[in-house]
Amino acid sequence: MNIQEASRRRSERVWMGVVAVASGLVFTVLGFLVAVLVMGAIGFAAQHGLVHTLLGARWQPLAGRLQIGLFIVDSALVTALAMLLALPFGIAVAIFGSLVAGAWERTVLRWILTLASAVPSVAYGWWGLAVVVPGIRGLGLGAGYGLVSAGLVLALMILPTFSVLAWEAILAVPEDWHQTSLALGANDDQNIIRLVLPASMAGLQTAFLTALARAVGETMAVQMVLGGAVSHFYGLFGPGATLTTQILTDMAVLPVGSPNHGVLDFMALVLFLGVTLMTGTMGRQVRGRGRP
Amino acid sequence: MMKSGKHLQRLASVATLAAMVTLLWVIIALCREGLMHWHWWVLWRRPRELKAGGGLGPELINTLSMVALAECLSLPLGLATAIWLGEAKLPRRVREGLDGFFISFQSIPAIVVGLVAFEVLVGYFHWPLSVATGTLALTVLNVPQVVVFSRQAMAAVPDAWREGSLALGATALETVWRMVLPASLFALVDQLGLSFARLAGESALLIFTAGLNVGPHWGWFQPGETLAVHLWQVRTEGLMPDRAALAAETGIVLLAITALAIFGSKVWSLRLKAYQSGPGGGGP
Amino acid sequence: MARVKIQMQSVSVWYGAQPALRQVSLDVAEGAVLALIGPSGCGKSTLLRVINRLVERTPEAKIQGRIWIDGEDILRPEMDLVRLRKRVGMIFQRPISFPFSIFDNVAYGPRLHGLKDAFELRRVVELSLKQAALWDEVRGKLRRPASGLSGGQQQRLALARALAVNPQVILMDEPTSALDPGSAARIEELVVKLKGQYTVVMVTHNLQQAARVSDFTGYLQAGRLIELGETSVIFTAPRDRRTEAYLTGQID
Ligand SMILES: Nc1ncnc2c1ncn2[C@@H]1O[C@H](COP(=O)(O)OP(=O)(O)OP(=O)(O)O)[C@@H](O)[C@H]1O
Ligand SMILES: [Mg+2]
Repeated sequence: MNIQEASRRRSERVWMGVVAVASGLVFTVLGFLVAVLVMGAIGFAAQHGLVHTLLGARWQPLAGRLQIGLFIVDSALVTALAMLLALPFGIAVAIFGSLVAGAWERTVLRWILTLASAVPSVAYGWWGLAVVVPGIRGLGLGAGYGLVSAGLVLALMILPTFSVLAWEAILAVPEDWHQTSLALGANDDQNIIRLVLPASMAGLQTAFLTALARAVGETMAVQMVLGGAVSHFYGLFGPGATLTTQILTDMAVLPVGSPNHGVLDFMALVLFLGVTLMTGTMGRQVRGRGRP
Repeated sequence: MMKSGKHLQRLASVATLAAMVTLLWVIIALCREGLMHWHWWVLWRRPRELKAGGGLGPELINTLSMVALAECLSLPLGLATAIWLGEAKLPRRVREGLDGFFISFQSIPAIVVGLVAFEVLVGYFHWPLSVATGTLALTVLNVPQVVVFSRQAMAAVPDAWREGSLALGATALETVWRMVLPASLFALVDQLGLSFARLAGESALLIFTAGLNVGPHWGWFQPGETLAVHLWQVRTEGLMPDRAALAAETGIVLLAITALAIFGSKVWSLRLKAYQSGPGGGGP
Repeated sequence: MARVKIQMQSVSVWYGAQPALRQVSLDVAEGAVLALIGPSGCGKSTLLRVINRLVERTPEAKIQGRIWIDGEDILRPEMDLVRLRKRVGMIFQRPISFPFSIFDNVAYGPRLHGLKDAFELRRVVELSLKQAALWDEVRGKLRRPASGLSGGQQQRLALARALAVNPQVILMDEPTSALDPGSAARIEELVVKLKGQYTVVMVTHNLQQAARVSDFTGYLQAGRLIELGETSVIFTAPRDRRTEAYLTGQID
């Protein structure tokens, strides 16, 4: 009996050790990843100046002009456009799915959303090239490649993720609360506006921020329809380049070891910090919500 | 207005319909284009750069092998980390901080992981753009996802069950191994399909790690272009005359892999769940 | 004899094919407290929820029969549910507070019905909290989240919220079964105080409670109203064997 106890305790220690080593490896790799980014970015910023790099808009990598302001603006515009479009539709899908749909509609909707959320971004990009770009060109709004096209494709791409998360958030409002609200004489509209949306606000914000983070970080779907103009701002329907697409484009132009390669680390760090900021606020909101 | 009070619901229904039609449009347009020109031989023929009639056999094999390998590496690592986070004696603040660390890593842009993988593996260690490089990059991208979904799945197991097991004299890890993991297996399996699908569709990360072409045969250090990368390359800078059809065909194969992964894991997960909740229970 | 407030005539309710209420007929006098007792699953909650038509949230529910409140047929299809539910308040078993402040919880109903004036709103909230005997404990803390209150306080908050829309009928579904004895006693006191001003229909599993607070008691079994009469009569000299069996603990 005692021997068995001892061997159990030993194997517990051994396995805890294995688990700890594995997580140590994970922390090391991810920490190392951040360190590589930060070091590259600091090295670059020390040489070229932080403000100058962030706020300037001239990009001639081979001539050593490495200012990323335009990419930040384009990233923000494309993302804002996408979120502006995805927000109302996503909330609508969430409300329909959780409050209106019957069992059958709910199942179909859920399957479409799950599949669509796993459709590769290049497939959305393909659709952008096949439908959105010619469409916008057909309307006489320029060549079709541009910020608006990218925003449209991106909106569609994040819609499933956002809808599913928002759906879960609304579903978390307990049935009791609905009944209490209705028993006080709320009609369905009032129930949604005064109870459901405020009560699920924390979850809706998390959904929004998660979708926002995905939108900011998306590369391929945007790259395929954005046009890749780096010299100046051509308007909403004109071509542009975001932080993500420009990293992709210039990885070949500024290979590792070339003097200005650090600007790519700098751009990646800006992206990473932006996303962390979003999900960081999210974490606080999730923890801050007081549900009984 | 007061009397019916269902305006929002009607509005939501219409908007939902519009959104679903557009989403289905993406899927159906791709399928239609691809099926119109469908040839079974694309599944095994090798790609051709300048001539029509090329296939995507090596890309298919690369996609499946790299994603499967990346899952095999990231699942144990991610699960172990999640278990450690749950079981190690950490102050609450530290645990929450570490959870936050993984949550922010979960939404890290793939291109950022790709850049660092490129700098370290290709730039520093001089690995070629290859299957191995791409697989490692995919693994790093996937580990935080696995950690987060494992944490969530395991946190969903009621604490009372855990206490019940501990009260029977089980140690912390025995409880995890014999009770928490089996009880959350259905949730893990469900997420596994999504994770497989997401990795299979990944492209930004692989362009500069796995490369844009394929080798004469599969090998660790052979170039490892995948289907998603192939689709992008063919559609944006392909030179073969049948590039439009080929891109759509690649898309179909990719969609099929995605759908199979999700559908398969869903079915498996539902069966596990139905088994757990016993006769009369179950359902999604 | 006071005026009849609620009149039910052969009311039956099914959930799908399963009957939950069978041919229930009863009258409730204005200002009276009616207690409903009966074994678990006998249809007590269903009886309450048909009075404010909340049963209709269950998609497969089917209602038959007639119910009048103040002589108005409330089961007719064109009945305005908002107007009905304004007149009929409800308290549930689990204390339910919305994830808002104490003030916003109580003001929820009045706001729904178009009260915007801040001063008037404050007056209504204060009055309702006083009626629910919660005012002294929460004055000056109205902006705090309601979830910080104890279970008993939350149940009184729920009562204040219901009273704030100025109902005439109050339905209570086991309002004290989730509370400690002290808090339960306070709710009981409140029910006694509300008597006369409001018509109360209350479901309870606590027979002593029914005996203490109600004027009339109805006994339900398997969806049928077996017996209804003055509380003192039901508890001392029930006419039906089944009621007696339940009261003496032979059925439960
Ligand atoms: N939403 C529903 N769907 C289907 N059947 C239901 C539903 N609600 C109640 N029932 C059934 O109707 C019958 C009456 O239920 P009801 O809730 O009215 O009983 P009750 O007397 O309030 O019970 P308890 O004392 O346990 O609260 C029960 O057999 C119950 O299983
Ligand atoms: Mg009940």
